[in-house]
Amino acid sequence: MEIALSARALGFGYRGHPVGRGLDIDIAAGSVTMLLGPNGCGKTTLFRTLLGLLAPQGGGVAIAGDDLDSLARDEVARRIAYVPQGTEGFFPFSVLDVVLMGRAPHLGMFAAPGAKDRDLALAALDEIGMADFAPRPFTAISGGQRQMVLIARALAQASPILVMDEPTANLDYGNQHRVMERAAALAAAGRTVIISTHNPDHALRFAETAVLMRDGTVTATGKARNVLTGEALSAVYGIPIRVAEMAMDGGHKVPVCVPGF
Amino acid sequence: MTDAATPAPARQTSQRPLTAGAWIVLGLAGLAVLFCVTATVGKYPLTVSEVVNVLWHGLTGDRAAAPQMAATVVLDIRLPRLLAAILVGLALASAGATYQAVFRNPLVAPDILGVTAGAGLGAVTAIFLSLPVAAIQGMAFAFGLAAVAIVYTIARLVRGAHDPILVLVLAGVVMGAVMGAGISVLTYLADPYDQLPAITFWLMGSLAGVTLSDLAGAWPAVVLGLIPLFLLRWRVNLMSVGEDEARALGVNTGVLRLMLVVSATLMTSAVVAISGTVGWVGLIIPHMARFLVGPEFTRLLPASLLIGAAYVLVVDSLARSAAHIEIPIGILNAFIGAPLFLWVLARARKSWK
Repeated sequence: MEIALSARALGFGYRGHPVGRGLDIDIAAGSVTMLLGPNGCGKTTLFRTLLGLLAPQGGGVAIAGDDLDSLARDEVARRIAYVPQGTEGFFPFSVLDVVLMGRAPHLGMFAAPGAKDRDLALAALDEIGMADFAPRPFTAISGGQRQMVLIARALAQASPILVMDEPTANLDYGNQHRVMERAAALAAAGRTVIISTHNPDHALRFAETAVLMRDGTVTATGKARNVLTGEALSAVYGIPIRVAEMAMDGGHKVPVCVPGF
Repeated sequence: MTDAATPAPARQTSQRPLTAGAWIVLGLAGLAVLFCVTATVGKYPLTVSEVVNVLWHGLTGDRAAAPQMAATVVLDIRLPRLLAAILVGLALASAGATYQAVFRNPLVAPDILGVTAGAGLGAVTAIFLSLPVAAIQGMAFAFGLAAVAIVYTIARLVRGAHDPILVLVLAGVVMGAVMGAGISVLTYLADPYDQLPAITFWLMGSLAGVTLSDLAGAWPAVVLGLIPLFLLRWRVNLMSVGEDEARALGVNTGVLRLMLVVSATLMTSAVVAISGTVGWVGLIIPHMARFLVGPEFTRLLPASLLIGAAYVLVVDSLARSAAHIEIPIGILNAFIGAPLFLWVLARARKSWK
């Protein structure tokens, strides 16, 4: 198994306010890994540390074997892309302009994107089925469409690893599923996808590996179906949860999670 | 997406018949025409052809060939002022567009980091000490830069878990208040017959006294500030998406922000030193430009620059011709700028989600 991203004895959090410590994790290349845990368990803080946005409070992170601290900011961006929940921007950039921003780590300090970058950005939009949205203002499209555009931006960034922070938060039921299917398709195409989610159903359906977190520590990690048992989920979330299998018309079974039965 | 599967027809407005370069040439030509037209405005009426004739002789070094009176009016009296209007307009508008992008806030203006208040205190101190004109400008410039340097230092000292931009803006507000108090003290102590009118006039802003030698000091600083903005113009976009996102896109945000803020501050201080506090331009012109060409900075910068120059050119012409006495441009600006800003705000509100 090729390791795309790993953390060793990682301490994460803020100076004087540690969130978690002693975390060991290995993310296999070309897989979907989902991170689950209650609010405030440190998922976002961990992500920011894995992305190099927050300095580790101990231990270290390695991307493809290289220590994160030893890599320049743009080199990190060429290896790992970040899909935020939304963007803080106020200004009505066009969808194409937003996707073009993904080309930043491949361009020199004083350069602007050229025809090749435009083609790559349009190809990224095309890959997620949003090519027709290129000229639309990013601020005028729906939340689900924005999430897809931010994924396209990460594709234009052409980094082998994608980190998505709760990509389905604020999305309707249908769009949640579509985003997850897209993430699984990206992994099938060879990318390493790391996702935080509040929905165990998503992890049971789409993740190879699940990481269950609580109070800044990993309580269980491994194959999603082995990790996400009723007992483990009940312990982490503090409510009774059962995981069952539902038989579908085609004869195959789909795992479902039932809380508070 | 369901809605992605059946997209609304893409807007065709992005397919402009002219290239960006052609628009800029067109804008420069428009500015040149406006320059000649505003040069006709004043107590001594001239026609556009007379102005062009004099300018042509002046430029070709054959001043004696032009009518003497017209040459004096155009070349000695109006030319420095019109050039100052262009310089002040383009500098404040491009600085404003930069600050708005860097601070991800459409409501910030060049005075956000205490530049204007700092420059004001410097100028008022120089007037209070009865220093010569060159010293007034020099101190305005130095105090403006110093105010920003202090704001930046404070922001670095108290940063931590706070949003660095919020800290910077708050430090700027505090600095502005302190500088404002300093200005009040000096205004209170100033000689009411000699210094006080000079202080008041300076604080209201005016291009009336600008000479060619003032311009010679200001334009290199403006150009020096404009060069990094031009070179980094595409990167400026990345500053407006948020700190974490920009860094995840490979941007060294601390360095880039410092370069952009220093450049914009240099331009602002340089023009405030010759014109006094000319408000509103840095706030409203970037909005008008964004309304016309969108927020993408490679288009926004030239648009802001041209519109800013044209706007101050027109408003200053009104300032010197609308009434029997000179109206300080700061006052006119507020009367014209405030309604204009509200209009732009109402039109643009939709697109800010």
